Amino acid sequence: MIGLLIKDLFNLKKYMKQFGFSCFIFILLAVYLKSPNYFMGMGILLAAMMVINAMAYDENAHWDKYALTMPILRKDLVFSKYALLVLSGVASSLVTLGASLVLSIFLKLPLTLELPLVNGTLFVVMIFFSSIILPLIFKLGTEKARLIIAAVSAIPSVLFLTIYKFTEMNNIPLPTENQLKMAAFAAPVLVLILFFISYNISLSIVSKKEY
Amino acid sequence: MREDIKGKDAVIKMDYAIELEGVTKQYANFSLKDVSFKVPKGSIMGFVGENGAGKTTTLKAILNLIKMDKGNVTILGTNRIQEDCNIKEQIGVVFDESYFHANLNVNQISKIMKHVYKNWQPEEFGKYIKKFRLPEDKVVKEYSSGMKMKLSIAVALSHKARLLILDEATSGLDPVIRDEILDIFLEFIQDENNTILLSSHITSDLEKVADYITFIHQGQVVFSESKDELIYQYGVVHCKKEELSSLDKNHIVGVRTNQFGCEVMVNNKKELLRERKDLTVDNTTIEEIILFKVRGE
Repeated sequence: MIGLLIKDLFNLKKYMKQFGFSCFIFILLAVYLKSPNYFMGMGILLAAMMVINAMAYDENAHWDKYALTMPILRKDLVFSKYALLVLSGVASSLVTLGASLVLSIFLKLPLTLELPLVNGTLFVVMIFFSSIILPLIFKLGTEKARLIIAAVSAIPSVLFLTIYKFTEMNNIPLPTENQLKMAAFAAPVLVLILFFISYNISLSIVSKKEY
Repeated sequence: MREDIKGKDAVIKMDYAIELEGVTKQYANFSLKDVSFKVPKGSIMGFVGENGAGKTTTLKAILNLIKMDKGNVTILGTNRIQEDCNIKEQIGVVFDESYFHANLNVNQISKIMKHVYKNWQPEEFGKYIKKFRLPEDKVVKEYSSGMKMKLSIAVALSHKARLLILDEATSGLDPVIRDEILDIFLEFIQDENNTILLSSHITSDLEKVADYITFIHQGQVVFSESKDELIYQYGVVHCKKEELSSLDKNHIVGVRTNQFGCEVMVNNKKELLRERKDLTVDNTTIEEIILFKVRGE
């Protein structure tokens, strides 16, 4: 499994240089907007894209077929991608949080718990979306999954706006602060459960694949 | 796994590195039907057939890359290859194209393989890279198709494999390097615990190195025999059309007729040479045997 991760890191070297450059641009944007939140969000999003890129590289090389002739199990192929997702997400979260703190000090912004909370929320949202997307890519491949990924990304926004408009039109009260706090505590647990369900679905897909 | 083969004067115990029994796989436009053959340990088996005959499908069935509809495959004593990493440590596979990522170089590939194979030998790999003259400062996408194939072969030979499975591994190589690689295979097989299953169109290569030949045609095994026995037993009889009826039909493999007469592939050459001094019986090649079987009447 370590070999698979090392392979992904070698392949993503170029992508990580682009990631670094993109982060630099987002930092400039954060300075202009006087808010590091956008920079944190884009940084964590790019970390999620890293896994999709790694899977695309494997697909282009038809790597999985060859890998299965080595001492690599089908579950290793799946596990390495989920491990890469978590590692890149955690690394990106820590880097963007650290950079945001420095940025906040530079911009003389108040240092509150908002930064780590936003950072943690973005990490959970990233894991949520990736948990839906990864099984689709294992099943359909990166090319065919692209449209579905775009839809998956858009659906929550559309749903949120629809629910908001509906509550507004029908005078339905919005959730209270306590209810939102409860939801915020429950969300990581629910996303963790979704993550494990996603892993098992991916495992089932790859176990049945023919190469 | 072990079988006693009774010869004239001795019982020969034979181990098999690969055993296929009744392997069947159905696709929409093609099927493998009841494919059975055994690859003795310590030997090189040539696996030959025309394009689309089922060679790659059979190799995928052996490696459990596809699910068989019926049948059983035993490889190095196990039929659970996909769950047994210890067995896969001992297998080196080369397909007909390279599956390395375009932006990797040989040093990165060696570092990856070091963490994949317990017995990875970076010095041995480096030796093959130099021998095959593969540039270390270029990435895989800058390699020619021949160089990519040599890279795959170098990887297969660099982790103390006991079994090499090669699918058209030498087809894209020039004659000089092909000859070098065949010599490496012959060196590999000097250890009687090592075995090679080599699928190839280039029958002259198989005649040079193979101990056994398995021929597959339209998804079915036509024969799986010792190469020497094939060359010993098969021959081409040149005769007139009227003389064709005088030959034993049970020993006729295929017939080609032309305006001058008939060419008849027979599998009782020695018998004919002894008993029919009136006939011209020539030695034959693996390629001719296959052509007669496929295209002969």
